[in-house]
Amino acid sequence: MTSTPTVHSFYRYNIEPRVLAAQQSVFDHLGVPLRQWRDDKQTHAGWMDELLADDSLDDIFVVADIDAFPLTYAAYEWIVGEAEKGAIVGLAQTTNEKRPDKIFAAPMFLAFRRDVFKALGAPTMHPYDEGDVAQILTDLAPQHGVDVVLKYPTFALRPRWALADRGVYGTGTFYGDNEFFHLYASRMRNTADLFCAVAEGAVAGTHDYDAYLKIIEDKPDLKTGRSLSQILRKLRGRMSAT
Amino acid sequence: MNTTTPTVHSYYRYNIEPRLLDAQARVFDHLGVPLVQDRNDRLDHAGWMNDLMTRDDLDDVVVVADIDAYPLKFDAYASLVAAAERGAVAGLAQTTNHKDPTKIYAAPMFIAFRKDLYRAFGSPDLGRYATGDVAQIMTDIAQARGVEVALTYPSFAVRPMWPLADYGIYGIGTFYGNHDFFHLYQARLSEAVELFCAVSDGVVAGRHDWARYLEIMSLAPIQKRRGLLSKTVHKAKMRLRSR
Repeated sequence: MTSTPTVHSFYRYNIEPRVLAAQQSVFDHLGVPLRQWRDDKQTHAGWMDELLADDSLDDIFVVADIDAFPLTYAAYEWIVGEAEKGAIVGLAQTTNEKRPDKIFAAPMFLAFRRDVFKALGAPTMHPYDEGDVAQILTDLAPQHGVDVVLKYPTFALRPRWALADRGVYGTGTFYGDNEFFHLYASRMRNTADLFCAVAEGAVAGTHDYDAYLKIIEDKPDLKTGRSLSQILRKLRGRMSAT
Repeated sequence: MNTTTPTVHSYYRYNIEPRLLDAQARVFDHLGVPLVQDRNDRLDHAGWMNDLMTRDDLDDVVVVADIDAYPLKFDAYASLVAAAERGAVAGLAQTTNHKDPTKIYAAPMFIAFRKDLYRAFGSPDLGRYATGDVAQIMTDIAQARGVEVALTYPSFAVRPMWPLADYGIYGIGTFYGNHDFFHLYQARLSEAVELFCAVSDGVVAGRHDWARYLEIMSLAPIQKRRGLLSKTVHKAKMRLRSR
């Protein structure tokens, strides 16, 4: 890694201040530059499009969800280093309601060179028929001879979704060899406790998995292990069946 | 790679569902790994292991698995046996969280070691003791004597339940290594048995249906772990019941 590009993260009014503070504390601890952008008008994809149109920003574009952080400086070095080599690099995810078998580099933590982005045709980051936000980069990369480098989930504290044939991910997912963390539920007040606890662990340099499991265990709305959309889908299915 | 294919021995009692026994046997058959499921309603798990170690017809490498565990591929079994053949105590990583949560050991949910190593260790009692659980003594002695302890760590669990020291988590439906082994834990929970059978279907089919596994466990109640007071009351109740 030859540069230390800023990591950009997007949020709206509904994100708890303590989540913002927890993310910031991890980045400060690691010495990784972070800019948290509040934008109540734009969507996540619209905000990314705006940033990608701004050539005054770093040559390496690094974006993270507001409820994600690297767990080590080496993880940030890795993602930037792979991007410098010309890859689209990010944490692995699937859009299960569209193409559950297609794993892509998701913008929960994603990096690439601006000139690579332009070589791909500077596409919009908006969701489309076959993909979610920023998935277009993974789709376009092979046609242009660009590598897609992925970091896979290792485990989740509350698994909720399948990751194609690889395994599972969910609320409180750890990626790689404890390299990245993504909460996946930043708007749920009761999981903010978990995010703050893991941030404290990252800063302290030791993770209290027992405490993390207790936090998750004590959250009644996670009892079913299902997302709201899954519950709604099930209800719709039952209504249409009657 | 190992040069032999020692039999895997697994212990169970009357209260294990037949479909769980079938599912375990199906995976072993599919992988071509010899398995003996040994029902014993008289001995506990450790007593059965102690008894097993006295048998004359044992393979040179002894392999023991829980009744709710299996390898996910033949190479995983072969690697475990190879580690045992070179003189290691080889097994799946676990902690005894109510005794010493920081101490990771090769647990008998899937463990292998040479018969002569066990004898060189003084043929220890494999029962629970003050600082360890069943068969944990093998790891303790190995570490005291500088013998290799070859551990395969959990990667993820379908229903995480417990911490594994500073390493991560494990729980109901834990996958070990790079999809090398599977251990159910809590084989008396009906949804867990359902999961065990589904994962065994996945092994035989050569493709895991993760969404199905998650759906099965989403129907299971969250089992809260006992706090210190609750644990003490539970232990007292168990003692009274056993009198």
